[in-house]
Amino acid sequence: MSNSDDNLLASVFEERAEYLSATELAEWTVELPQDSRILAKLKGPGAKLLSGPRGSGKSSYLRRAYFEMLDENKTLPAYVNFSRSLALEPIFHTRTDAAAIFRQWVIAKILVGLTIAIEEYGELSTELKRVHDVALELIHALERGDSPPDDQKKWAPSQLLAFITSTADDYGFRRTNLLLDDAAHAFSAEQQREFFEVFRELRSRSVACKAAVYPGITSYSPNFHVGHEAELVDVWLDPDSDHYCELMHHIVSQRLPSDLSSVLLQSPILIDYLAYAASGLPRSFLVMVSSVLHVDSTAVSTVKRKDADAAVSANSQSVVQLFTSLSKKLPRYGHFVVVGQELIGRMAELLRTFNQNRSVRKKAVVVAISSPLDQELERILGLLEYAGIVRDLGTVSRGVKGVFQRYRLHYSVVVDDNCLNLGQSRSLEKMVEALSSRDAHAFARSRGTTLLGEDYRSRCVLDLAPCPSCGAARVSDDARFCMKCGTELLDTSVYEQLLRTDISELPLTQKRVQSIKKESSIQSVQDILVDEESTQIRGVAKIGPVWAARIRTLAEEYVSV
Amino acid sequence: MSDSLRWREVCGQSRSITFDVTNCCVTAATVPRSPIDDYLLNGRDILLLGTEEDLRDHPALGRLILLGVVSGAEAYFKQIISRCVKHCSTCRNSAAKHVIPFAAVEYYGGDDVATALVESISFATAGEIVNKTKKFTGIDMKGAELTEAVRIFDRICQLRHAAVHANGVLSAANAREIGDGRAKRLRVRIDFASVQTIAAACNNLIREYNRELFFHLVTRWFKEKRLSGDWQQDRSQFTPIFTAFYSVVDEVGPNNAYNSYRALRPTLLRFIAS
Repeated sequence: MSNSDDNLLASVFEERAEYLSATELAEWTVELPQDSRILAKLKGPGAKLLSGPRGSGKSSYLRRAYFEMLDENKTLPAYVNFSRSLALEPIFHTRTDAAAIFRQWVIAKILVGLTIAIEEYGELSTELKRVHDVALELIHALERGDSPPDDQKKWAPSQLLAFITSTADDYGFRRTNLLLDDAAHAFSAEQQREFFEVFRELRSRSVACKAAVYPGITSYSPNFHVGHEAELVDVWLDPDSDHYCELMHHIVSQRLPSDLSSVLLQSPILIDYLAYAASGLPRSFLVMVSSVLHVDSTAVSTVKRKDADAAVSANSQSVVQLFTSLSKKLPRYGHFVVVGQELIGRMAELLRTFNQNRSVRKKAVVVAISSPLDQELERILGLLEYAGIVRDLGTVSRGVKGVFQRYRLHYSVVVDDNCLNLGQSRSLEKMVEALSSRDAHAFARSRGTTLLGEDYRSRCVLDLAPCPSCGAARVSDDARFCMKCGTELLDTSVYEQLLRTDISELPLTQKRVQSIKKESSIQSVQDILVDEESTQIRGVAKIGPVWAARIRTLAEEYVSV
Repeated sequence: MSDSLRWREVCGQSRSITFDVTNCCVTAATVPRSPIDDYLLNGRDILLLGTEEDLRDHPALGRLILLGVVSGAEAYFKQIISRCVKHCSTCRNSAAKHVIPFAAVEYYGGDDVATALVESISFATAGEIVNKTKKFTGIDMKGAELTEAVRIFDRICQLRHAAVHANGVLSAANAREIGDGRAKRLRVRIDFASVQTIAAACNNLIREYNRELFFHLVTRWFKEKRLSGDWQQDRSQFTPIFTAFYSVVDEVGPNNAYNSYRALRPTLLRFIAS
């Protein structure tokens, strides 16, 4: 395969929209029914929070809105990606003024995003060029872990607002839309608070902030009230929506080179199967498609059922692994993650039992849990929602039986765990029929204690590190000192721990992890990140440009929000 | 009491008390530890009183712990500044014009007379910490981290002021200083989380101040050519100042004066050569 073919293929299967060019994005994006509504919200006035799990298309919408606004020339757009925010997390363990430094990083990122957008309209003025260069230098220094220079200008959000307004005005724009990607900062409470304070302070008639956040785990600053400060916009595509499979077929024909798409289009039912298994997440769909097509090894002339099953199973493991990785990113919720894994199994089991002896069109994929939910269960379900394992479908009343909160299980998990209970010979047709024609009102009812046992709340305790000096347990989440010996309790940096993590924690198959470890010097997540040219990883068998890029993305995602 | 004076009875009557103040004082032991360790260890003792349960059951306890922690921080500033004046001649020059009461000289004795310098000085606002440090040591403390730590400490001191002088009720000035715009009168209410945060914030301040002052003091010696680069010559000057700043409790970096000197010597020699 030539280098240009390699690059094309790597781009085709580049699942992160922020790395795609305007042309690639325009050519490969399939129009969804919800697109015009979401894009109008991103291009219009008012603060919005774009919510959806990983791979649901948040970045894609923000990038599309950005390019469309550039073309329309009515509103000045600025696209800013905060995915590297965890790189600044270590300073919160070492510096008193970490919050102020993080705020300057946020502001510097916005300034760079703004100047990059202005550059699309022509050369930057000397002043704007200087602002861009100084801000970029600060960003690089802080992400490297360096201290900010003492003489660095400190911007207040109000100064930033005035600067954006006057700059936009100079270029003839009445409004600037800030498109803030990966903005949840979900793994650092201090960063979250700072970010949403800046977000809140920038709200004005001349600046509209649109931020991409995750469901379930984003907590806002005390002064930030969702609904009042910003409207929540859900972008997660519903696999139950009309024309869902049709849209996924379009992705195949529009995005893949014809030699690959023609192979896949020979088996429309297999595309449907993968589409449902993606559970409304286009990124998962692309990963599974690339897997069944063996894009990084010998090209295939036909797609096989066993490859599709393996891809679905790997996808199921991958979303569960994304969930379990939370015990590293949010170590205090380690016990909640353990109980959460149990919950996935119990929900699957409940559905399996419910679906036994039911006809194909009467299967359920939704579990309804008696409401109100305990705080602990709500937290677990929030964490599961972040990973996309469950989707909150709202409440339903069943009269005297009470009110129930409905959660739909990820379809890859549903398929992989045989929740549909279709018997030994599960044909693709039956599975697709069960998922596409199921009774929308069918759900398996349960209670938190029935699913997890009477004692589950006592198992959902915060996992707090004991005193390093005397070993006494930390009395509560608020404790900063050991209440037995008085020693100050220091939290270790999550980011540094994530960098040191073994690559087996990444959502990769065991086989691939073993081959990477054996055939290269890569052992930790950090090793992947420092292999900038992918020379090490490309030396491993069956890792071509697509998988090299994907593994790098997985490592980047692992240490980001 | 005649009925004609019953109108005066607005509260109970006082009783005879014999108070021997000496019962409340013992001879202060000269503790051979650094001011920062003194602060950290005293702070630990105080904090252990503030359990989650006790703070919930006794609302006044939080205010008392606040007083203890802030008073410990003030004591640290006084001790470290007097140690600097004692062991650094440049600091002594800066403090030279400060008048001290004769009685204090007698009380502390010649060796500890520097303690008298700061005896009546308050370190309970941001301005006082920075200004008094400049006055007695000649060092301008303006690092970004310290500035932030001092800013937070300043707010804590507003709470302390209310706790000491107004039984916990914030004055209009205190409320303005902490930037609380609520119109209603406010009372200080310190729960477990707040006690822990306040103590951690004070620790931040003391550690940052201790690091920055030590750094400035030693680098000023470089510039003033007070260090030769020869341990035998510099030992008597460097050891007391290292001991004054080094925290055995925290135990980071070179753990004795000689090792610390060895670590700084290459920089010192480069400086001398330039």
